[in-house]
Amino acid sequence: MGNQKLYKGSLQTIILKLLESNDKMYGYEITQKVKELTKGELNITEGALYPALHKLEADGLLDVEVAKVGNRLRKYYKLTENGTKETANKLLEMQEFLKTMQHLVNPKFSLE
Amino acid sequence: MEKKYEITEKQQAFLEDYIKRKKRFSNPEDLNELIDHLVTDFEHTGNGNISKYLADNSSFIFNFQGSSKNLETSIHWKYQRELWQIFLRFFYKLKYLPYTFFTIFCLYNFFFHLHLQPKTLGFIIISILVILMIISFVLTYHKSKRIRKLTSFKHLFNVMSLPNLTLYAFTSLADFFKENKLLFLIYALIAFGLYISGILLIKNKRKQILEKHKHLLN
Repeated sequence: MGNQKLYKGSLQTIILKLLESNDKMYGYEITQKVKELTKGELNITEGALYPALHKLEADGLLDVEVAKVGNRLRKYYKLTENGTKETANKLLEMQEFLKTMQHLVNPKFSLE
Repeated sequence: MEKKYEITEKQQAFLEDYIKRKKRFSNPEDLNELIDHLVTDFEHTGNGNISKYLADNSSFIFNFQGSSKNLETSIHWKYQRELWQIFLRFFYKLKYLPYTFFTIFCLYNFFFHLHLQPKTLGFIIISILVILMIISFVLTYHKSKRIRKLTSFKHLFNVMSLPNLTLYAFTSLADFFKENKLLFLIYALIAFGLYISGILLIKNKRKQILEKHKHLLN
């Protein structure tokens, strides 16, 4: 498993990107989807996921929808209009960051 | 995602009871979210032993942070922003301008043509504002406790903090208004505008919240 600390600052971007491609998702589903997409390399803990989701909700980037599943209620998250715009910005930021890191760690392959 | 196990009603009741005893949530949505997470995880990873599962996950349960704190601040400022937006609409949106002009016309006649005593004038204006305040109080109440506990519903009450401020300010400005009727008229116009905007906002938000959380009413 890779160094989880390296992913820490990218959690919000990961959530936003997942919601962009999946319309609406619930907390547990997000953790499992990340595990599946990264083949177990990245494991988002519940302790980190929910505060991040609540922060995004409070910032108006996510909206909530509640649905009844069996005997319980499930809280689905989906992107708001602002959230969709912010996702594009965050992904752009992430690409810039990766490019910069590439310049730093592997200068030979990043000459433009 | 494939389930390994289907939780029984008895186990779910045990889990819900355990969480309710161990943790208090001011927002029922947080409790529902935690229950759903644990039940889903138990069904996917658990071996059917709910007591062991809860013991293994006690640290997550205790440390689970609800959305309340961040969300409350955000909702408060969102409502305040929307209150101003509705208020300002009365002064620039073509659709609302007739109401504004009509109110100004009525207030002007009321202040300058009826020749009422300043005390009577003040009493009438304050009475109208108090009636509007009572209407807003009624709208921020719901018989269902679960609805009342929702962060978005709780904060409807705070929408009126700014309009109510104009009412409280009246006592300190009353003497000044006795000598300056025009300023009193402007005050009344702003106070009415804020109260009406607040009531419109509460009515609108209340409808949205009840629609969104109708599952809590069952």
